[in-house]
Amino acid sequence: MNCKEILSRLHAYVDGELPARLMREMEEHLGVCPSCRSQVERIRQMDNMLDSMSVPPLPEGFSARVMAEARKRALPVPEKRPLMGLDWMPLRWFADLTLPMRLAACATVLLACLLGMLMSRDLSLSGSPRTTVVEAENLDGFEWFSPTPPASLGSAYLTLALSAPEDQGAR
Amino acid sequence: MKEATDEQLMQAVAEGDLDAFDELVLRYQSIAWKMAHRFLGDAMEAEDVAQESFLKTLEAARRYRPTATFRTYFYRTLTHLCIDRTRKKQLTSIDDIPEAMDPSLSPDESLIEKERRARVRLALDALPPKQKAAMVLRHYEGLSYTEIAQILGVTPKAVEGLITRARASLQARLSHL
Repeated sequence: MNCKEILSRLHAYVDGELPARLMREMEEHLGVCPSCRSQVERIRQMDNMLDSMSVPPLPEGFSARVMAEARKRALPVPEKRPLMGLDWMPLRWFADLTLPMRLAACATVLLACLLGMLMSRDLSLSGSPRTTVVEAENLDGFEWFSPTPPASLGSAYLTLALSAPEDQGAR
Repeated sequence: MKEATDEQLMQAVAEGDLDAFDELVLRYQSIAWKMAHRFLGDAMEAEDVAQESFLKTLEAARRYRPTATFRTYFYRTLTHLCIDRTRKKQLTSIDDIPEAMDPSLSPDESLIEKERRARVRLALDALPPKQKAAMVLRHYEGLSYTEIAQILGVTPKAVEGLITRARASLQARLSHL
């Protein structure tokens, strides 16, 4: 390793954050390079300077003040709804989600439904519209259940209405 | 009897157990106070942020999942509160630095010591918030680059970069001392 490479990893070396192999290589270089060694010394001196910043002792009654505030904001105990004697909460995971995650879950379900609808529509359109003879015979058997069964008033009206334009055209 | 882990206590807090929360406060109050004080350099602000970090932990208890250690989780909450507060805070002036309380120092030595601590404080406060956070977590809290990376939401390599830049900046400001 040259000095440039050593200097780029010097802080990780001082913090003991390098892999063992790299630490050994650094130590070998520092053993023979006074310039890089002086850089290590400067880092250590600066770290010692940071140690001069003392912290006063924890203020008295700190935990009591935190607990007093905590009791004010305390969480209500989650209500359990037993179903058939079991603690069954299949949507508990949903209740535990944050609002953006809930919205994302709803959007995913909605998207899945829309995709399903589109795909089923495509399938129905791509299917053959031709009706086989057997199917047609089966359908004929149900004509008495149609809104205009044969020989009914509705059927007579439709016959007249459909034949009227042809009559007008003949005149 | 085996003592409950932090993560077990947090699960109990999620179920409304305030005694478990009290235990967590007792375990972490010193960490919260020291970290906030080193970050902000002001006792009132430090106490306020330390308290808020516990209350935020309480509020988020139901969403807590033990994917990382509680320690890392708590440090993350605390660090982000410190970063938010430091963005709103005025830079410390030398008059805000308390006198050294060491009785063995003469008045002159005490003044020099105060000046020295003030320079360190100002140099730390001049760092960008993420560099300051990385430096405080590494130097004072003794956390590894991997833990700091989890707390700041960056890679360990990025943490190395933050610490390298922070130390270079501190060296430039403190080299005359």
